[in-house]
Amino acid sequence: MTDSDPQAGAGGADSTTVAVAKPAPVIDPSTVVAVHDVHKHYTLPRETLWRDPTLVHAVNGVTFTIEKGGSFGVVGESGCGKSTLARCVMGLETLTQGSVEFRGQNIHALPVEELRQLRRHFQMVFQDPFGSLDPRMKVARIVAEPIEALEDTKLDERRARVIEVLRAVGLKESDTDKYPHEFSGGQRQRIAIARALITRPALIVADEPVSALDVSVQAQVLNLLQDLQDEFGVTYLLISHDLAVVKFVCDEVAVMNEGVFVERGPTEEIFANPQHDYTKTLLAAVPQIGG
Amino acid sequence: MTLLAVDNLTVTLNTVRGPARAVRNLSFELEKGQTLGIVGESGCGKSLTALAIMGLLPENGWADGTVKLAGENLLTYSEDQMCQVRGNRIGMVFQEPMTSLNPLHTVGRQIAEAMRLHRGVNKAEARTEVLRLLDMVGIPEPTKRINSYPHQLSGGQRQRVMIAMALSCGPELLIADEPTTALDVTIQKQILDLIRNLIEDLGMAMILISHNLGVIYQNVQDVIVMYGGARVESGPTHDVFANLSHPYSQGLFEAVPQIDDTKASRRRLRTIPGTVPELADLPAGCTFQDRCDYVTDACRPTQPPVVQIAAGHNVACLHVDAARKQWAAR
Ligand SMILES: Nc1ncnc2c1ncn2[C@@H]1O[C@H](COP(=O)(O)OP(=O)(O)O)[C@@H](O)[C@H]1O
Ligand SMILES: Nc1ncnc2c1ncn2[C@@H]1O[C@H](COP(=O)(O)OP(=O)(O)O)[C@@H](O)[C@H]1O
Ligand SMILES: [Mg+2]
Ligand SMILES: [Mg+2]
Repeated sequence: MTDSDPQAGAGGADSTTVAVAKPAPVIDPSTVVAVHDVHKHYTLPRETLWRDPTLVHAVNGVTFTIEKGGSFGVVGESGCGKSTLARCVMGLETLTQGSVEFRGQNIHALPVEELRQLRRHFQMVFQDPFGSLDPRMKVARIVAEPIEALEDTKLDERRARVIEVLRAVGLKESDTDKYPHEFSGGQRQRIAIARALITRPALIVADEPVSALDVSVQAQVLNLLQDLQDEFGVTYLLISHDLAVVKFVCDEVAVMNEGVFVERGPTEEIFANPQHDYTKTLLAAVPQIGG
Repeated sequence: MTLLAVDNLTVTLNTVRGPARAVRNLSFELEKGQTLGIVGESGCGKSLTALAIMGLLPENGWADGTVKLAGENLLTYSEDQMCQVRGNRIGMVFQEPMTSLNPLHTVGRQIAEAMRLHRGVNKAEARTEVLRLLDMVGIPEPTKRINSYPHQLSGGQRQRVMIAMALSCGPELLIADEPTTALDVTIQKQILDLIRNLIEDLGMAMILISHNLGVIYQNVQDVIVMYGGARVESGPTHDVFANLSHPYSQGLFEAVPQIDDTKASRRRLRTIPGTVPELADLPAGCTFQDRCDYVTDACRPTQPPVVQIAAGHNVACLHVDAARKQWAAR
């Protein structure tokens, strides 16, 4: 008896042993990532021997897809589960329930080596441009790292790729021989983005990529994200607590609260005409200039 | 009546690269009950200005000029005298309440101590007063919370406790340095609304420091925009935002995405080329010269003149006319 035998479950005598397969989400060929009913629960260490350990429902049933070249934003306040969701999508966390399909492949079901190979197609950029770069490595190595592990590229070809992505993010060839501390916060975030780009990924997951930056520098990085999309058709999953940042970059947005999406839709529409009370509260709290 | 008069305040720091002027010739006045915002990107000298007023500069720094509180120059005060001023006459709230609260003591005890130190009230009176203050800053169930330790409170509640402490001695001036920067946007709104209402009810003056233009716009009557330790533009908040005139203020405004922008209206943000200069390398003349679209040789040798473009609206720029024209035509 196999799952592929449609008669087995219905006609068989012992139908209880047959797993009723949930319908797998239908993947459109232009879909880059499909997140289906993802749950991530953490067990906190028990405070006392007599009390049950606490379960944190960090992500509690989230579903969405991002099409090729799209930019999907997730906004919400601290602790609502944004970073956990990002790590789930990146395959950096096991899931409590649900699935994440990248170009039709369930990444959490892949063998380790296959996942490692697939990783070049989806890369992550973190908030902290200071913590995420190894201070002992020169920029050339930092940026080349993702391809070093994956590809058997020759040294000069690798160098050419490094220079290409550094240029794409507005840095110079001469920057390859410098260390991270020789750069400003915005430049370090550019280095992190260059590293994410070097594998020519289809998807970039960016978790609060501009939150640690001053506004004039933040503007440079936001413009860069737009340019990369225009030029290379990169797909984004952008996580931010800043509604204006998400509005600027994303064409679709989800508002997250306590592990779930309370509202989701085209950015302009959600911002112009929020339906959920939480979205309304969030929007009303943003201090605006004028009005 | 003038409550605070800061005149030609300069803060110098001894750094490994020699003395550096982190605040340069800053002057402003604050009336009783008036609210003033100081806005600018990190490193522009906002916190050092606040610390200089409160006599809390770091060991390697000193202040020149005058800081007069009701006519008395605080810069000539002894540490003992400044101790009396802080708490009694000037209250302070900082960005990260966790570092200013003692983790080992209950919040009730910490507020009471501040009060007993400065006001000489007895224990029972202090308790009644602490409960009143906790209630005033919107802490639910004050009789319970008075016994809480800082780590048992949320970030927003800790900031409310800090505000209660700052107000415990009925100061005439509150200095709030990035009081909501570490908080979520909905909590930020609650805390700012609370501060604004208390200030108004108690008739206090306030200096609110923030890097966030929206926070400044919504919460203060007057604003100073700082860059590289210097005031580049100042005036009544609504006038300044309606007629941004210094190239730096204009650039700052255009760099920030707004939630009421539409994708069609703004596909690119304006950026300010270059980076903030190192303190020790700050140029003579205008501090913004190396990043400014309007710079000419005349900007380099001497500090720019302060031009009044409307009542109370001042701009420190040689090319303010050109910058205004361009801005109006954008
Ligand atoms: N590794 C972990 N172990 C236990 N709890 C966690 C872990 N990571 C996150 N959490 C909890 O999950 C919730 C969501 O966290 P997070 O995804 O970091 O939120 P956000 O990024 O929106 O601020 C929080 O309550 C957080 O404390
Ligand atoms: N103790 C110190 N020693 C040396 N430099 C300092 C010290 N404190 C602040 N600075 C420098 O002085 C400048 C102004 O700092 P600050 O007033 O804290 O800026 P802001 O509050 O506007 O971000 C910055 O360049 C900062 O690095
Ligand atoms: Mg996070
Ligand atoms: Mg500061």
